[in-house]
Amino acid sequence: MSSKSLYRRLSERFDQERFLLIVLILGSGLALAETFRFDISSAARFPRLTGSVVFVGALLLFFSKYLPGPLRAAVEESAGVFEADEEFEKRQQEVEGRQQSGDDATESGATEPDADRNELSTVGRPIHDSVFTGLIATGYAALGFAIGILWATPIFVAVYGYWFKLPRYLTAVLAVVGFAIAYGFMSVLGVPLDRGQLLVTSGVF
Amino acid sequence: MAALAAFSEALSIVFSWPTPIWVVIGLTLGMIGGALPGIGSSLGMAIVLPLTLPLGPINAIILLVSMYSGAMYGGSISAILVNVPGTGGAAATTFDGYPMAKQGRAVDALSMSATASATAGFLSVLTLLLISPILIEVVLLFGSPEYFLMAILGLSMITIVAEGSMVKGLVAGAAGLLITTVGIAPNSPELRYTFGSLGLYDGIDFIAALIGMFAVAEMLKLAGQEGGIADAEIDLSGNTLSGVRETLSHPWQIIKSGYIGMFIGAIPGAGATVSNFLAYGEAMRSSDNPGLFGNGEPLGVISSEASNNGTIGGSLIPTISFGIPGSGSTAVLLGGLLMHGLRPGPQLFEADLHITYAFLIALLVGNIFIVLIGVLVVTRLAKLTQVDTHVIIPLILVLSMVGGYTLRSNWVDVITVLVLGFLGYIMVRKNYSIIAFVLGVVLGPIAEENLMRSLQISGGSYDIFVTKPLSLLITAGILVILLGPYVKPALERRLG
Repeated sequence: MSSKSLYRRLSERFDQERFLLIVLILGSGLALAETFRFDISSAARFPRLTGSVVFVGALLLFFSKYLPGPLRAAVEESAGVFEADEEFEKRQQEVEGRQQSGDDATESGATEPDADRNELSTVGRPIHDSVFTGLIATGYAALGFAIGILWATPIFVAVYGYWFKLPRYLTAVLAVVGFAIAYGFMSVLGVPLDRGQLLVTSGVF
Repeated sequence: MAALAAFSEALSIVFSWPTPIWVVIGLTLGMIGGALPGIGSSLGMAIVLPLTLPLGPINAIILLVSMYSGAMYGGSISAILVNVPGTGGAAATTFDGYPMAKQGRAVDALSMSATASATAGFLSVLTLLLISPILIEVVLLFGSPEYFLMAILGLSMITIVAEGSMVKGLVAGAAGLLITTVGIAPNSPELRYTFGSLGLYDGIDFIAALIGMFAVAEMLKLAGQEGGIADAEIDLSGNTLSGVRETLSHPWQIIKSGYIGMFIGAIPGAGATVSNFLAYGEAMRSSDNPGLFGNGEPLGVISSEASNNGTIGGSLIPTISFGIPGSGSTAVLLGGLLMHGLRPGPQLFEADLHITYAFLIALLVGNIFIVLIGVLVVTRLAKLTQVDTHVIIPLILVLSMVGGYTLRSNWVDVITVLVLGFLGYIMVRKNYSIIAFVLGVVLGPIAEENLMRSLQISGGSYDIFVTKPLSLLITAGILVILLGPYVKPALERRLG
């Protein structure tokens, strides 16, 4: 099985909403359980109140398919305030969709479809662009922790530019701009961005 | 008398160096953010927040409100030129703005947008200034129980205004509130959910949460879309002065749309995304030639743009009075206020009244700059609509990570930015209200503090939330909002 089809299979099986709800159920459940260990009872009041709403609400959403009709409708349906009439709503959704995808540019032939583009990536890579961006952002934070955000910044930008097939000169310019942003923050706000927790621990500047 | 003294102090602040320059910088940054599809005002303001740390509170807030105002206008640039609204508040502008551009009247449409935005923005902020003495009286009636209830009312409003399931909205809002319980509890030395980590003693920083939710989540979403409109052709023909003249010949339309915007803006969660469609619909309904709408009708551009800038004055009412933001941008603005030690409510109308007046006056002045920039410089800003998203994304992510770390030099903030960015991305995709979550994060400490104080006053009894007429009224309001959507259909069925 190729890595692309493995990725596709995994992503088909991964339900983002279920994942979010599991995080919320476990997180709020843990928060609720912890409140019983607090020494000062008044400090438990607010987390119990909010934790209960999250826990019960997330459970209802998680099991909404199995709820009886009226309760299911109450859990899933919108309150309907500010809902436009059907005709206008169609138009509204069309524009909002365009805002997200910029499809008018494509419609007018403005952006040529890439030869090796597929449904996973706009630049023909084997994983979805958003997933890659999430992974590289995590890598950026981890590298920043290890060697200092200042030094991790140009590396992150260079890898990003390479992956998304940006022209080399543009990637170099972006890496310099990224470094300048981090350096600017360090100089103006006096934050030790040049220090890592594992390497370059005493900084350079 | 005190209000007059505060007003004159505010005037001297706004017109003293370097405040005017922060107005111009804020407007320009806002217009740039607004013109770039996918960026918008809340994201732009969120990543600028950490940079305002060295500024004093007044200049910082003036910078942020100017960005907010600039972005509302900036959103129309890409809406008109490339048919992609830079912000949700400019979505209806595409209906007639883009056809006008196709007819060779792009500059007319852009100057109409600038004039309508500035005039309605000016009008709504002026109205807010004029009604501020009444607001002061109202705000001073509120005590701890009422402030706690207002926070819950604001969250409830958002859940019914936001698209999609109300339960999803409630869960999102409550999750935001729950996150704020990490760290030392207010009014008690109890350490909550720190798991022995020193980095968590001070809790989750709400600015890091805002950056994660608005910037990182948005970039993850943007990364999965087409590379943008980099090669879209832009035809910048038309006449600036005729656009201005045409707009000013429809004063009633500007006033009407501006006030629709102001009214909708004052409702938590609604904002410019709703108001521009409502104002456009109303302009179409009241027109003698509704068939012209959608084919380059100037009134379509004027109504949409007047309403989105009109929203600003309205959304500031619940934000500064009760700490309930009307939109994502005002949630960030509220974050800015809190970060600089300014608390919404009585403080902003008593001791800090001069600051409140200062940023309202700055907004008024800013509207004059919008016309000037919109009419004179906008053709240069047009280039921004062609920037590739893959150029923007790495830079926004750098700003987010660096900004997150600089807040407290605490790696917990970087983790917060990342984790909430990922969760925010899923929430946006699955129709969970980001605004409700963010509002929960920003309001959490205020809500808990007021809850604790109220219960201390009442000796632990929850009766305090229903004994006074005002608190009873708000409690009833919350119940109507939360139960209304379920009870109303049943009542209608029963009444035939």
